[in-house]
Amino acid sequence: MQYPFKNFHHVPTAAIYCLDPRFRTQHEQFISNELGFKDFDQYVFPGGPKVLADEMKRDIFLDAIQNVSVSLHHIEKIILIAHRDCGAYGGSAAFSNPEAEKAAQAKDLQIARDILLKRFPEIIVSMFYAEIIGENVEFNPIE
Amino acid sequence: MQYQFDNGSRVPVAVVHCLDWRFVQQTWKFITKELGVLFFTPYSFPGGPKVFLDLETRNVFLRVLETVSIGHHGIQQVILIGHRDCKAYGGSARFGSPEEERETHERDLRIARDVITRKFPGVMVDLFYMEIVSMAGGEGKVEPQQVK
Repeated sequence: MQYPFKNFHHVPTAAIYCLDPRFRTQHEQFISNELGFKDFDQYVFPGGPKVLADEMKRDIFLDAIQNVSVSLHHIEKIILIAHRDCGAYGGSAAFSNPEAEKAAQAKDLQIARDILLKRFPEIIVSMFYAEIIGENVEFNPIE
Repeated sequence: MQYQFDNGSRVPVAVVHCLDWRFVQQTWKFITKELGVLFFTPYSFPGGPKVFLDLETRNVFLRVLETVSIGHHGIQQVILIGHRDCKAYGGSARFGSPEEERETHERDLRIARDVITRKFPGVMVDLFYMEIVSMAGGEGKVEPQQVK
């Protein structure tokens, strides 16, 4: 089967989020439908933004963002999304309560944002937390 | 806005592909509609399967395949997808001919498969190459083609 193809290189946004298959389509719908970015560089890896808080893995991603998203695609914004019950954190079961779980992930989001801003001071960084609400997922901004 | 959440416990397929947005939508459609894989974990990174060739990235991605995809998700299949004009290779311009580019990608896909199957012998690895089959005025068609 063949698929339509457009040859473009300017991509205004990059997004870093977890590969958890339970959240895959919701991430894409949120970024595309709510945030309005149809085209974006997606760095998808277990734990998503947590990878930037990990000294062992951080540089691989920072270098890729530098070489591809910044230098080649000229992004202006990076979206970081963490999510409830993330296996990279041991899932919700690793925390004593939902507030502690969200606080730990929000802390890592802020670390990831600071690392990105230090390396790419001209880039805007936005952070979100995908919350499970009953049988739905809702994306809430993190300040 | 809220989105429906599927907290299913099905075993996903791991897919490793490049983040090049020119190919991502087609890659997902191919996986879901042609291969029929609706539940998958996309490892999306510049160069896609090339991460298993570069020493710096290989150990990181093998480690998460082991701990997350195999250890946590219990995957039994990995799909590796390369594509024409991949900037992680310097784009098509870096090669002397389209054939040379294609052969390089196919060789690297096979190396990536060998790296994975050597480490995880029970995991099946399928290879595909997203080929640009027509192009005019900045628009064209891509076709996923299996690599043996």
